[in-house]
Amino acid sequence: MNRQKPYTLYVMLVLAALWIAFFLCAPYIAPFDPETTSIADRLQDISSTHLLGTDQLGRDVWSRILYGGKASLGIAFTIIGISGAIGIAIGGLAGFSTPRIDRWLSRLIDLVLGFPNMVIAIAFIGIMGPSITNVIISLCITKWAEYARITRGLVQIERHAEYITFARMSGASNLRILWRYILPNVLPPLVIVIIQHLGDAIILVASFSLIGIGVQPPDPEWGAILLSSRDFLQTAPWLLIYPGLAIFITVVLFNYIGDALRDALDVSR
Amino acid sequence: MKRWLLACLSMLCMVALLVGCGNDTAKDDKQGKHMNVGLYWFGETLDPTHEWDAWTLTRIGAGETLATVTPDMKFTPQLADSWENVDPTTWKFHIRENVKFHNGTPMTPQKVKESIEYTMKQSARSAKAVKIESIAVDGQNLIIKTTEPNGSLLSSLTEPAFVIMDTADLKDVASKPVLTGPYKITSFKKGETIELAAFADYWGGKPGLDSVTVKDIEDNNKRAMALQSKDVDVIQKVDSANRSLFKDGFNIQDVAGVRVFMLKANNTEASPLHDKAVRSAIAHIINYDSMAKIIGNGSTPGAAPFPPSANLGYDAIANKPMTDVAKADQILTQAGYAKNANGMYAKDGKELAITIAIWGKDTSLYEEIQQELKQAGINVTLKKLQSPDEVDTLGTDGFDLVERNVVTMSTNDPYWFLSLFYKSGAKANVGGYSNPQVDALIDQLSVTFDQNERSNIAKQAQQILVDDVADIYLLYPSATVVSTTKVKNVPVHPIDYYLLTKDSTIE
Repeated sequence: MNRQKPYTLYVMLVLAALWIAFFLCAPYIAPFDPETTSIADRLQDISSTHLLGTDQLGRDVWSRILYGGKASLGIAFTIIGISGAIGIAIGGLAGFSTPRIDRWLSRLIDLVLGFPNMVIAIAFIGIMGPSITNVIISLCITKWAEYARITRGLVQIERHAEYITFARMSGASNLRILWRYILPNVLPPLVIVIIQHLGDAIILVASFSLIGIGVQPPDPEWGAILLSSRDFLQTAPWLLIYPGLAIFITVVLFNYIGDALRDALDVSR
Repeated sequence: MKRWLLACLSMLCMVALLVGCGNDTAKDDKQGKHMNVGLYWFGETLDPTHEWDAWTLTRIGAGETLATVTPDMKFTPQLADSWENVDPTTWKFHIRENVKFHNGTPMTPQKVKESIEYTMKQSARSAKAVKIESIAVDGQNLIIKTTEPNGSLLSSLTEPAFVIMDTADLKDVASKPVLTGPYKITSFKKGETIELAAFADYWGGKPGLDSVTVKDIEDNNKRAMALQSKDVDVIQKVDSANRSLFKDGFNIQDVAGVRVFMLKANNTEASPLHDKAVRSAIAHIINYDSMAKIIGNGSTPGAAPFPPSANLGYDAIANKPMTDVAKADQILTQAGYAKNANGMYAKDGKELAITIAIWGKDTSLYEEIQQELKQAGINVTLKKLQSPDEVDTLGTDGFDLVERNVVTMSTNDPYWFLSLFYKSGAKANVGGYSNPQVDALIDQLSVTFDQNERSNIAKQAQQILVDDVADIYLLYPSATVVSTTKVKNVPVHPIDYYLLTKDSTIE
């Protein structure tokens, strides 16, 4: 595990931390309010006042992308956070409890995995109406099952390991075994999966906004910005290029970190 | 090395293939004068009586009605060469002679009668508009009796659903209805193309084109690109984002249209807009010049239900709301509102906050309104509906203002718009607007036949609607036709279901 210092990983982590911090600080560094319109300044090109120009309502594109990043990243983290927590809890329970409970939970996991998640999400939003909360719920409904399956598999491998038997013999309670011994061993591979999924989640949220069922105007979110600018593909392409680039960089960054983590932790078992 | 070479070569072949594909579709082997037209909508079929599908038939110069409307909004003879209103419930139309259907059958008054009756049978909407009791043939004349006095009969018969067709030949009515226009439909592919050929026996003389291909390109960007690459020669509707692409080598024609973009207001107790002062204040805060700028394309800032092009005395209307935030403040203060610590208007401790229900794809107009109202001190929530149909089922507690984009003078007559949107209890009157005076005027309109008198009634109704601030009228978009400079005589019409004519041609 410790052959060589994982420098790539460090570099990536620092870059990602900076990138995320950048968007979290949007309210402090954005020069303009992202929603304030000014028809007199509409569709301006790059200038010293408007670093990335202005959109069709004269809003500052740079400020909108900063705030949009806060929304996009926030929603993606929430989705992965909630579905990860639910998934790990259920998967852990299934892997560690009696075969009877395991059987039922596994069936539930398989059932949910059988659903096409995009279809479920779109149907859910169709019924409940588009909003940030509903986007998060609609994706969590199905996404947790992936983590549950992985967790269950990992826990089952660990629970039959010798050191668990020793721990049990020394009188450790179930909860202690789960918390002290199993969790630390199954967490690294889970973290890698979760980080790799962050990129997917950002694209999913953006694509929901792009087809009009995600974040609603005037809230800035990368996908929503793309949607409102699509008519300007030819006459003001910067309105599409910058949010597109932001999505691209973020996704690439998370995917690299996932890979680098995997190499560093050497969990290619 | 060899493998690399192979890879490069195969890539080149693929590229060449793709390029090849692009080229051979652009040049077609049509003989004579051929025009490609890009429309923004096709119906499901070409059956004139199905939904609004007939609008395509008049657009492409295939179908004709008894009377039609000129670009300056006057009724003019088409398949009937004259008409008169004999008494309040009787009309006499003289049917044009020597007109032939596309299948060669002569169009007799009997055929016209059958066609109108067929449309009434198939389309409930059309039957309701004409209120015809019976049609009789008298020589070259049609005697139409209505169930009640119907001042809108002539205009209702210009609606494309009443294009005259040969109802003895209905086997291909969904794809090739047998009509009388200068162009004859030769094929129809739903959502893709309609092919037309000149109709040699057209009553009005030889059509200017030998053949026409009409393409259904619903996406604004794609339609603009199709014209840019000369895949089509003329398109209807271009959005303001793409307008600047057509400078050299293209003609842009605009005309003030007869549509209005408005925010229908909730006039019921359920909404703070029940108070006329609040409606009036909102109407004074909105910047109408900005509205027109966002939609662009030479649209006109709004103020009243009917646009100036409707010829209903727009300039003479008194009390049209003008952007004046100070006046809005005055109105709200008089109504008992005062700004609270957040800088928002409030009354009895309750902040003035409204919900605007929207359904369109482009939300920029409403985002701007939200900002303008917020800066003036009124909080706005935008509520996105899945489709415009949802407006009808919103219920009076579901919105305060709702997006509406309406043709005010469809068939060159104000009756439809007024009766549907402002009559107490009417279906599209979702805000529950009710004024006995307006109701009486609408009733009077339905039994008035003189065109001048009809205009006067509509003018009076319009003045009351403005005085009541019934709704907020944002802007009047213009109708636009863009073509290459080779295209001649494809005029832009305020009613956008008129486009190709017998004289349309290409150099």
